[in-house]
Amino acid sequence: MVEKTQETKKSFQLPELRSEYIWAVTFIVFLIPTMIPLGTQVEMTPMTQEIYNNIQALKPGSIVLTGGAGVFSFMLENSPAFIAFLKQAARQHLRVVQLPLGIENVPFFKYCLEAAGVDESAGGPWKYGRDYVVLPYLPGGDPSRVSFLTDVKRTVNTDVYGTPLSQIQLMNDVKDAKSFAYWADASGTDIPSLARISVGMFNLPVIGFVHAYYYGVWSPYLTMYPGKMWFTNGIIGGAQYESLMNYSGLGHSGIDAYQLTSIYYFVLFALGNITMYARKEWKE
Amino acid sequence: MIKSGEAFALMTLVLFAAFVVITYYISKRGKEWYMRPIEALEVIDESIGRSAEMGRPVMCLPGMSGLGNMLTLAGLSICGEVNERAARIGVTPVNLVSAADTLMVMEAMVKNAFVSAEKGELYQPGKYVYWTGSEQFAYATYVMGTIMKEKPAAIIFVGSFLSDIMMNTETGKRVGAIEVGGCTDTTAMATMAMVCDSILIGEEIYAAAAVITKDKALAGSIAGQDWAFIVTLALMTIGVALGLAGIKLLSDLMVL
Amino acid sequence: MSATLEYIRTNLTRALIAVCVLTVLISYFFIAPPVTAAFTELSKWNTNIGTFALFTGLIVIVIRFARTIINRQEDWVFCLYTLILIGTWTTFGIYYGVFSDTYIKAYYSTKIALHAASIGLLIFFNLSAIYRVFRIKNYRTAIFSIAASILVAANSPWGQNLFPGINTLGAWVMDNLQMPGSRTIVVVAAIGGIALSIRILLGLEKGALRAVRSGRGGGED
Repeated sequence: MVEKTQETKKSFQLPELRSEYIWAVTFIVFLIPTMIPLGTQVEMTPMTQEIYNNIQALKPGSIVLTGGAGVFSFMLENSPAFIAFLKQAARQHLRVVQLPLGIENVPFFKYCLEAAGVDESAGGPWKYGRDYVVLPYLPGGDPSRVSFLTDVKRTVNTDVYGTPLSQIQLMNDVKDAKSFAYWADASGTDIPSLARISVGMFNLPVIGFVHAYYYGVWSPYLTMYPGKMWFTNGIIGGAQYESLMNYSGLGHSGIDAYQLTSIYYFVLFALGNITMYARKEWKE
Repeated sequence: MIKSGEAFALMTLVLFAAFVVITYYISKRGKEWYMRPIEALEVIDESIGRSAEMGRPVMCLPGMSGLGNMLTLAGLSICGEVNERAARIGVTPVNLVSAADTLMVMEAMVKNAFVSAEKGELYQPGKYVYWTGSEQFAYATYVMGTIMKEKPAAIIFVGSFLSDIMMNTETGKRVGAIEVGGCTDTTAMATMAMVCDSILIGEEIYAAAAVITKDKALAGSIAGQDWAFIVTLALMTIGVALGLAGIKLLSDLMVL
Repeated sequence: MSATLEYIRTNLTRALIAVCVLTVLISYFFIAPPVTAAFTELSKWNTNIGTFALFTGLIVIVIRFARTIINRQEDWVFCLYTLILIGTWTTFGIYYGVFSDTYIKAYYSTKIALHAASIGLLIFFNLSAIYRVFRIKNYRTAIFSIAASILVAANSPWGQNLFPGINTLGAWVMDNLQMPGSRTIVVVAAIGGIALSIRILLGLEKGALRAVRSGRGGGED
C-alpha cells in the first residue's frame, strides 16, 4: 500500500540550453571585437618587460637564433609576441637566423616576417642574406640541436633556397652557439629540449614565446635557470609585447576576444548551475 | 664501463624489469594478486551491452599516433578486446585510426576478433576500420563526421590524443554515447575528465590493457609495476627528507 | 609452411629484436664504441624502414581507396577526391619544391587555413562543455569548477583589474595543484610505459601484437 508522505512542489525550471544556441552566442562574442576593437588595457608583467629590455640592450649586429618544432596553427597563439619581437629586432638592427626544426616553421616564419613588415619588400630595414637567413628544415630532434650548436656549418650546408652558406653574408659571422645572443623560440613546444641543450649544455639563454597552457607547465624551468630563460604568456604576452612596441596587433585583438569570452564563461557557469538547482524538487 | 650519470638509471631499469618478470612468473604459478576494480573497464562492458540493446555500433579510437607510441599499443589491446566482445554479441564495431601502420595492425586485430568470436564470415576488409589521415584535425573532423553518421552508443578513446579530443567527446555527447577515455597527456586528460563518463588515469591505461585480456599472469605483472611505484615513492620520500636535512647522498647517488 | 621455416620465421624475429634491444641499451648505458657504431647504423636502418613503412602505408591507402572507388562503395566520391589531392600535391611539391614560395603560399592558403579553422572550432565545443559539465553537484565538481574559474579570471584583464591578487592565486593553483598532479601522471605513465615495453620485448604481452601471431593469442609461444 502506497502512503502519501509529503507534498512536493516544483520551483521555476529553466530549460537546458541547446549547444547550437551557445555556439551562436559564441560566434557573436568573437565577432564583436573583430569589428569594434575594445581597447583592452593589458597589465604588464615583469617577465615580458625583461624580455623587451634584454633585446633592447643588445648591440646592433647581434645575432639571435630563432626557430623550433611546431605546428603552424598552434603557433598562431605565440605569433603576436614573435611578430613584436621581430619588429623590435629590426628596429635594433639585430640579425636573425631561423632554424626550422619542424616542417611548418618555414611558412610560419615567413608569415610572421610579412606580418611584422620588416623585410625590405614591405618597406622594412631587413634584407635577406644580410639581416636574416632561413635555414632548411633540420630533422633529428635533440641530436640535431646539439650538432647545430656545436658546429653550424657542419650540420647545415645551404639555406632553405639551396644557396650555399658560404655565399650568404650573415652566415660568415655564424659558427656555433657562441655566435648567438639568444635562442628565441616561438614554437611553444620545445622548451624542455632547449632548457637541456641550449641553456644547460651551451649556456645560450632562451626566450620562449609559449602558449598560456605551457607557461604554467614549464614555469619550473624559470626557477631552474634564473636569468637564462624567459617566457611570454600566450596571447596576453603578445599583447604586452605589442604595448611595449606601441602598436596594436593580433595580441590586442585576441585579448579583446578573451575579455568577452571569459565573461561569457562565467555567464554559462552561472546559468548551468542555476538551471541545475532550479530543477530540484522542493519538499515541504 | 658504464657511462657517467647512467648507472642509477640502468640499475632502476633492471630492477623494474625484474619486478615485472618476477611477478609474471609468480602469477603463472597460480598466485592471484588482488586488483582493485578498474571502473572504466566495467563501464566499457556495460557500454557494449547497451550498444547491443540499442542496436547501435560501438566505436573504438586508439589515438593519433603510430605503433612507436606505447599508448597506441595499449589502446590497440583494449580496442581488440572490445571488438571481440562486440562481434560476439552482434554489435558492429567501428574503428578509426590515424597512422598508416596502425591501420594495418588494426585490420589484422579486427579480423582476429571476428574469428575468435566465431563470426569470421562476417568480417570484410575495410568495413570495420577506417583511416582518417595522419593530421590531428583531419582525424578529429573525420571522427566527428563518423560519430554523427553512425551514432554509436559507446565510444572508447584510449591512446594518444591532444586537444582534438574536446571536439570528439562533445560530438559523442550530442548523439548520447557513453564515453570512456584514457590518455596520459594532461590537456587531453583534463578534457576527458570533464566530458567522459569514465576515464583511465595515467598508468591505469597500461594496467587495463593487461587486465582486459583476462590473462591472469599478465595481470599479475601489474603487481611488478606497483612494486616499481613503491620504490619510486620511497626514493622520493627519502630524497625529500635527506634534501631538507642538507644531505646530498641520494642526489649524488643518482648522478653516478 | 614447413616446421623448419616456421621455426626460423619465429626465432629469427626474436633474435633480431633481441640484438636491436641489446644494442640500444648497451650504447645508451655503456661506453662501447663498436656497439655505438652498430646503434648508429641501426638508427639509419630504422629511419629507412620507417620511410618504407610510410610508403607501404601509402600504397595500402591507395589500394583501399581504389577498391572503394571501383566498387562504388559508400563515400567513393570522397576517396576519389582524396586520391586526386594526394596526386596533385605530390606533383606540385616535386615540381616547385616543398620550400618554394609558391608551394608555401598554396600550403597555407589551404591546409593551414583549414587547420586554423579547426582549432578555432575548439572554443565552441569548450563553451558548450563548460555549460553542461561545470555544475557544482559535489565537492569534486566544486573544486574542478572553482579552480577553472580562478584561472579564467586570472588570465583576463578584467579579472586582474577587479581582483588585484588573482594573478598570485592563479599562479598558486598552477604551482601547487596542477603541477604535482601532472608530474605524478607523467611519472606513473612513464613507469607504466616501461612495464608495457618490457612485457612486449619479452613476448609476454598478448594484447595489440597478438594480431601478428598465427591464430588466437594466448598460451606460450
